[in-house]
Amino acid sequence: MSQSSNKNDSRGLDSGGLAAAGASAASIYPKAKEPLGMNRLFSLSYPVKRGIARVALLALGAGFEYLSRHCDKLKEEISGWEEGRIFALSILSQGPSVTMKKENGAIRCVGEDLKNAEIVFYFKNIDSALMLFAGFIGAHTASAQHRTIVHGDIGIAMEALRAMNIVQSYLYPGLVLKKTFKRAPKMSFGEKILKAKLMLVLLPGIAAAARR
Amino acid sequence: MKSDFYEFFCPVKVISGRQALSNLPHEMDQLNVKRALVVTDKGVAGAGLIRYVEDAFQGSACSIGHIFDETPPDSSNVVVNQVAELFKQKNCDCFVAVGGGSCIDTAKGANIVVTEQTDDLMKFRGAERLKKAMKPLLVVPTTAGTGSEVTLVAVISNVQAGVKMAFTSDRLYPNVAILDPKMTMTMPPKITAATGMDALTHAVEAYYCLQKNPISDSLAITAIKLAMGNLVKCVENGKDEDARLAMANSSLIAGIAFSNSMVGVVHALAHATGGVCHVPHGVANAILLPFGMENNLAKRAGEIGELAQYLCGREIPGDDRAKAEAAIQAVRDINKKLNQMSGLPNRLRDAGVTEDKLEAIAKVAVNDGALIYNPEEVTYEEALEILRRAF
Repeated sequence: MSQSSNKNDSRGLDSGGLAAAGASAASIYPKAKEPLGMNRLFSLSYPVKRGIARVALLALGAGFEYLSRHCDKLKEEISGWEEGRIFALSILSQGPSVTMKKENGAIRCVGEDLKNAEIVFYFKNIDSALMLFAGFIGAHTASAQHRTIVHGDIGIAMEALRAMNIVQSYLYPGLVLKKTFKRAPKMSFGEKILKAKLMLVLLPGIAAAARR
Repeated sequence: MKSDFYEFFCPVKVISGRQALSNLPHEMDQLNVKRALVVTDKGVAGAGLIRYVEDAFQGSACSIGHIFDETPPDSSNVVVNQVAELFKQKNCDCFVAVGGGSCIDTAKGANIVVTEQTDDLMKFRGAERLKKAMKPLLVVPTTAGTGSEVTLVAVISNVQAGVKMAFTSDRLYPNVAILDPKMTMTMPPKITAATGMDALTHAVEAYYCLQKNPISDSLAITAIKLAMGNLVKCVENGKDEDARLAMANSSLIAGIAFSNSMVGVVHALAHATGGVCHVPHGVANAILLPFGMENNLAKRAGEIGELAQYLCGREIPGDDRAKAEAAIQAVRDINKKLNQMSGLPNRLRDAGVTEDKLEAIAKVAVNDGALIYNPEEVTYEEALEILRRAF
């Protein structure tokens, strides 16, 4: 062992040394397997990324609107929220945003204005936002990796995050949920039907949200 | 879930050792400030510790502008505004916090008020909202547990709104942390035990929670080794300077670790237990730590198992699960020992929590930000179950 170390030392950081160091580091911190398509996503131009992010935020907004009227879990989660609560997601610093408001017991997409939002979840850059929207990472991983920050009360942010998790569970396929959620939600038959219905209304929903 | 992407930051200058406090005026001079507002509490002042601080200024060009010794156990916006006003009135140019977490948080909060020229802290709640360079803050901890001397966090109650405001910002890191063993020697055994277990909890949770990274890992292990080797000694003999200094270091190192890797369900439940039943944070952490570790066994047996050799003080044979269970048992053993030596409660019921409060605690806990970083999902029902087991 010591012989081998000395040999590496005398060679400095040669390829063997690097390989050895790499192997040792990898055994402690195995590098996550590069998800298929992530690099392709990163290589897109900013306007394209911005467009994808905008559609994803609108889908989230439309999902919130629909599910807050039809999904019992989400209805229960937001039942304790005060009327008029506004929360938003935004991409720093000039990226797209979506702002949502509780109105008449349901969630409504109210555009991109962050001014009155009690809670804003900010993505530090568009790549981080795309990683989440494309289902490469979950919301908790985005937080753990400092890819997102929260402005506002953390308790309210946790409530919004739980609600967002419910919406995401209807927007993403099971495989993605299994990979990105701490614990993938189990859906009843009725919830699966609701998920299918959401998919059908999503496009017109996005268009309506975009118009607002 | 592994640390393939992380951030790490700690800009705090650390001075640790006997008579380290004597360096305080020199450090102020290095920061180009001359007049300190000392933020402390009645307990610290009553124990004669402020005299040490005053003595340190003898023969220096720096001075104490004012000593504020009315910091309550839970800092509030009212106190913070009061301290900020004093800072301006007394023409001070830096803060020196001498005390535990509440004194340090009060100084951090007052610094926000002074720097941002506001009396409304509410608009700065959340993460990374402070942009202006703040007044220098030097910290002399008198407990060994919170790690606030090296964290980017401040928690301050808003009396009018009835909420706890949490602030996290790189701007909130103190400039200097001074660890002098004489400043923690007057801590009674029970508080020594509770704050020491707070430090141990920071280190253990930092090691297995989601923001863990190679740097915080190495710090967490060092903090655990120091705590396991010295906490019992400090409780046994409060005058043991070596042990006191080692625990002050354990607390500081665990503070750097958890400030960069965050904490999980133990802290979420401990914050809520403190909020609902006023159980001291260290006591709640000590009680809940083994249960929180158990909660994460399915996902983090490997990481918790890696801690077994440091928590048990010897190599543990067997697979990850066996090692992790030994690690949890080691935490239970030290809790039991500290209970026998100092009366540190081992169950929530012994810490003043009544069974009818468990639901309220669980309800508050699921809205605690620390839960994001816990490897295992924790629902209201699961939080309640952990509390019932710890009761």
